Amino acid sequence: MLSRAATTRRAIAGVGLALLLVLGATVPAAAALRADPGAGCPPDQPDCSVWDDEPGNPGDPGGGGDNGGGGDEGGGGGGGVCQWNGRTIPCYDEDLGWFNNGDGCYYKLTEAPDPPPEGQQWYLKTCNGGDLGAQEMVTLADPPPGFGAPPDPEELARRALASIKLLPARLKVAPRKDVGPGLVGLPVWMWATPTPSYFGPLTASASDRGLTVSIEAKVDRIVWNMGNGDKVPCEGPGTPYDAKDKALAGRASPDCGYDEGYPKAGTYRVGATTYWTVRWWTDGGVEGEPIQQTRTSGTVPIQINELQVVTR
Amino acid sequence: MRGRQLRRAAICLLAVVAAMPVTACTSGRETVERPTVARDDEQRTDPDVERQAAEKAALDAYSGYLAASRAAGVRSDPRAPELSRFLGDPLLTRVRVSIREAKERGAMRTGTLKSDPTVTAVSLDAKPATVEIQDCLDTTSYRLVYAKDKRPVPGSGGGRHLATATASRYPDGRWLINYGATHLDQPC
Repeated sequence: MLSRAATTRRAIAGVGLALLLVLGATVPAAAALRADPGAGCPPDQPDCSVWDDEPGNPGDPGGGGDNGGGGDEGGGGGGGVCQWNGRTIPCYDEDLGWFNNGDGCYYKLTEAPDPPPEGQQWYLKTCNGGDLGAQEMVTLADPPPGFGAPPDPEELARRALASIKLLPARLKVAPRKDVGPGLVGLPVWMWATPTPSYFGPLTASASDRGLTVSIEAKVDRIVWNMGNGDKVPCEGPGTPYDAKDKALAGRASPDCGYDEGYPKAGTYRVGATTYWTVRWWTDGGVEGEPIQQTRTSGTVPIQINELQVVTR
Repeated sequence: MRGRQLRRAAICLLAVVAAMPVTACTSGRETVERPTVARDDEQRTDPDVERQAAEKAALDAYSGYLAASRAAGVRSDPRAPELSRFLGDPLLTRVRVSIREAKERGAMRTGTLKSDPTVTAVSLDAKPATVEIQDCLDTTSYRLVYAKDKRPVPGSGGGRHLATATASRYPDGRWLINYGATHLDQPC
């Protein structure tokens, strides 16, 4: 009887080893199959990545909403609550769940075929700011940061802001360097392309779970940097100087000029910064604290010569 | 006698894991063990029947998924409730986002797909129990088009490619497809 029990134990041990070997051979294959579920598209959507190159795609790093613009140093683009790679992205996605700023992944409670360990729950985790190729099932004891947060109106305002482009002003000055030099002490005219892309108003909206926030972005003022330390604030884009209109020669701009002119001869680089105010309000009529943004333009050159009095 | 039974049971288990024909075990038990363990046998489901039932449930879930996804794609409805009748996460979310991405750009699915799935592996002893499915899925005439003028979306389009899917048994007994991928590098 004893020896029979021993044989049995040996047989079980042997089978156990064989099982281990067989499992060892099959499990990695299965794991490999499941490790990268996002590597391919779903069976019936072989062309699911067709939108990947388009801006504003969920899970498309770098797409859409970069507010930068050349030479910007002030406000910066995003400033949003949830960010991935410097891009403002939704803190909540109806399919992916809540975003965790700490690790750049969305989390959603879900079900799995096998029960989670005691005291834990299954989450679907989508990383890289919503990259469907970086999706996995995880079990967690506590919800990740940001999980379950209700819609935040300011976040929606930021998101709406990220969906539009506030461009730095396109600058013009008179006298123009490529036309000819100006003279010391004579008025300089400054103006910029007056379209909504550069001065507003621009509108947008964003919605999340029944809450809609609308925004309106407008330039309050433009501050011209004359390149010699002098700054000239203007309320609007200014008035273009018409060189053909001889009556304007030597006169100051009606609304945006460096009227006293440069005190010294030289070549200056004239720049400007636009100051945007972004008002926002919810569909329930609640208005939030406006968001301030700045855009700084590249400079244009201006050449000023000495005024010479010719006597005979 | 006990030892022999244990050894036999263990060998049968090994045979199942190795995905060898299960009939040998069944018939062996029928002839040799039935007299002594008859009561056990009556309560236990026949592994062969169980396996066939699992294969059928998995293939039903797979064809249900294709039909539900097609219906949801034609309607551009990522929230279609029938999707969750046949799909589990992460594939469920993947399919929903795919339909949603098309919808957000004014696109929809049209046409039909041809499917001929087969079961490649059954693991009823694993936790969770799974069935692996392989399909030569023909999506040639299953197009992604813009809803307003039915113009094909540039860069879209399918073909005949190998598709793999995993059906898993959920705690409530349902079989859902929870993993699946198209293999564009493997035409069929």
